Amino acid sequence: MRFHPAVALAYVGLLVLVVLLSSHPLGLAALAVVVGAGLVATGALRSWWGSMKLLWPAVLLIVVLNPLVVREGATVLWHGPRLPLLGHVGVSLEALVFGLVMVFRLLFLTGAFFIYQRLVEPDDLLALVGRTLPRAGVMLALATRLVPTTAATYREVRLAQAARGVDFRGGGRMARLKHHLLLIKGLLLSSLERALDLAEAMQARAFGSGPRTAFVTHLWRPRDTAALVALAVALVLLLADLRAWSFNFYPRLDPLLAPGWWLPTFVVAGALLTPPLLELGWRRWPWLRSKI
Amino acid sequence: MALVTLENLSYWYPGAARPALNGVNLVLREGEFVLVVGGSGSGKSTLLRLLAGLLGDFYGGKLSGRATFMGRNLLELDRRQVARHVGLVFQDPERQLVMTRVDREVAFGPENLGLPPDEIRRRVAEALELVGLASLAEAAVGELSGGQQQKVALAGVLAMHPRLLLLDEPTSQLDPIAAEEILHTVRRLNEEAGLTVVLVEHRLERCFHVADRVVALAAGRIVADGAVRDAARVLARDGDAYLPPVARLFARLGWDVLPTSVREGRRLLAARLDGAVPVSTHGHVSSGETGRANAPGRKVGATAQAGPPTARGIMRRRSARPTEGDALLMARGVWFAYENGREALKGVDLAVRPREIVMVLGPSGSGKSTLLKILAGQLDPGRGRVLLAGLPMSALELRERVRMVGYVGQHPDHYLLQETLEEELRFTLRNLGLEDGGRITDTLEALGLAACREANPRDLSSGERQRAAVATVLVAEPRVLILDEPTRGMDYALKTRLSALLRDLSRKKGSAVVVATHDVEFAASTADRVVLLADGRVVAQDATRNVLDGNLFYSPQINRLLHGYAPGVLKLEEALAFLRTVVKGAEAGAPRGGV
Repeated sequence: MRFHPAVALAYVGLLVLVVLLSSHPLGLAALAVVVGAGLVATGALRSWWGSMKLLWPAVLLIVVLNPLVVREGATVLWHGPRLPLLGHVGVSLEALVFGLVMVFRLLFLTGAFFIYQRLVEPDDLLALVGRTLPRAGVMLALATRLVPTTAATYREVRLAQAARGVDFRGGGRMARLKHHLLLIKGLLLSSLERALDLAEAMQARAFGSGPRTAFVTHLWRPRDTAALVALAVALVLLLADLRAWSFNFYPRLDPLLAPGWWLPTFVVAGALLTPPLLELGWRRWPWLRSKI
Repeated sequence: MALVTLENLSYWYPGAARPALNGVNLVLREGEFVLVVGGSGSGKSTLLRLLAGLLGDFYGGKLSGRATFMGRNLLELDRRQVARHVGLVFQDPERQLVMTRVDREVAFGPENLGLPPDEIRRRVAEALELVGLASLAEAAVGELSGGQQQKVALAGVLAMHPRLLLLDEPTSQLDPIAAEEILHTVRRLNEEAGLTVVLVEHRLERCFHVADRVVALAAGRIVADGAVRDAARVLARDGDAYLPPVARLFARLGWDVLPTSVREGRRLLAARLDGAVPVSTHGHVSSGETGRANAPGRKVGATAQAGPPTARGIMRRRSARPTEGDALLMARGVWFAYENGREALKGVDLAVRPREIVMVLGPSGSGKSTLLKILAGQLDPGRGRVLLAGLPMSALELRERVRMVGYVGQHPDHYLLQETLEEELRFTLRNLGLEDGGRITDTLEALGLAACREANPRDLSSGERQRAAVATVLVAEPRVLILDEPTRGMDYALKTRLSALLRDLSRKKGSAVVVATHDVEFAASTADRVVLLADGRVVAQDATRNVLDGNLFYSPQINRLLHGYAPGVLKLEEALAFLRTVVKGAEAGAPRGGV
């Protein structure tokens, strides 16, 4: 998405805030549209979906464990046996809905993270914070580069050791553990050597030799103003009526359609949809592109 | 005007007993292009680090003597002042890039100098334009090729507007074409902007001719220093290891003038031979196809099979492609695509026979490393088959495979994780369930590493580490040895040693050897067969002579020198024999029109 990094940060920050504050199932349904639009507009949908294979154990844990251990729900759907440590187990409707709401919040938070990753380059963040926190910005950029390089080194060390007959899959547990420790040793040694080389290159380019300035490349466009206004509206409405986003699960579920809940929810969700819609419009509508 | 003056300068790394620089006296004048040559550990990189002000600040250690930069004491200059005037480009582009986007990477230095944003913007645009990467300003650094990354590193230094540009083997990781681009850019900066350049490089054939002056180091001392031709004569007297092949050839012929480029060499040849050898516009000797090859005044035989000095005859020796029957390792219709969808290999066919050295050449990203990993069984092809001794590679167990195929990747350090070299080799044997039975001693001796048996492998020199990594797989006595870019950062002496080792393995032990390399000179001197890859496809696969003869880039210097005189000559010894004969003939007044 082509927004000024400050606007992009504000958008993702507000998205995270709304997800954290929202426990109303219908509010979450509106957020599903908002996060979905953000993922589509930033092109992060596929990678977010790909992350599900890592997330599903956490999802399963929340959905299964929460109803089994929480006994506050009044609408009991199943009475289970008595288990050591846990006592009587059972499943209530309230605990089940609570677990599902938590799962959706987790998925939306993950979605917001993927949107952030596509929207804000670490270098952009550095440019933003460069004037006040230059070292933190450089650390961030280095850490971002470190992830793929460390992954590549891991693969190379593993390949090198496999070429000497180290079987990372076969053998007993102890043998596998020993092999993996060797891998970590190789990774550490290589990372240390790389860090020294990088530090030397940075020193040669005057890093840390005195106050530094920031290279600013981003332009402020009409779409940044439009998005920022929409986000400001969303923030004001969110803070003005936080109750619209809250929901009580125990001992019984609140009524789903309480009077007055929908207006602030829809307006906030609509405002949060503005940046992705602007992006999609920018991309697909040349006239709009020339104007914003 | 003297930009830098070093007077009796010595430097000891922390804890080192011997100095890395020993009584160095050197004056660098404004606008010079200085090439620094020398063997591994001779002090070349240390000299660059001294000039970049890194020794005291970054490494510590002990310095003695005097160093001045523009008349001021270099050792007492503020770090920012040094960085403002002296730029250093390192060997490995990946290990010097900090930021994730190209323009931000270039801006990193100017930001550190505290320049105003408008000034930074102007410098970034200019530096990217200079290195030809303006269109990639917003690209991710990690997605660029090695050559492009090195250009980004160069642009990052240029954006700081240095007066002295230091380059530490900037092309050692690049293919010939990318290397040529980098050196061309540096030469242009030197000529058009008057930038003073100090270049350290092992691949002399790439850069000897672009320098004004050559400084040779040995054991931390300057052993030759002067204009290129003068220094070349000194280097020729002291053994010719630090001369490019074309100068080495003329030095061994005993000629007074030593050319530093193919162009100069051809001019000299043309003047000296003066029509004694007819030059063909098609790259072949234009005389007839019969006759005894070795005699001046005779026509060159096209069908001759023996060694030098016959020109066309000895060169056009086409070898039949290995068939499935005699191949030890064979790839058939191999395709491979990475997870991001990039197709690295597209239907590659390759067969390697016992006692054969096959070199895989090609630009960066052409699929060389992927092919080697597939041949070693480290990657499975998406389509196609790999057969090892007639058996599908995928059907072999890890131990079986590793016993038969030894693979050393581009990073030898990743192989060396044990406390001693002996333990490294023992580790391989243990993994493969093999007994020592003298293997460790034999392997270390064969690789010239017997003295390093008890040493920590990470403490060895770069050349020793490369050989140590080879030792860790060679100890299993594999029937096939696969090496990926083994000559990176190696000087001429080390390459000669590696070449001899591979020939020994191949000829005496009957091993098959497959090597991926950018080093055309190494391939020309060592390979039996060359495979040229481009964009994941085999574009040429034949006897070394047939592939490396008559190309613009993928030919050794000697071949380009004798192009049209003696097509197919790749090696120094062949050229020597040929030219001695021809010159003798010319001087004896042999009739013109034939050799």
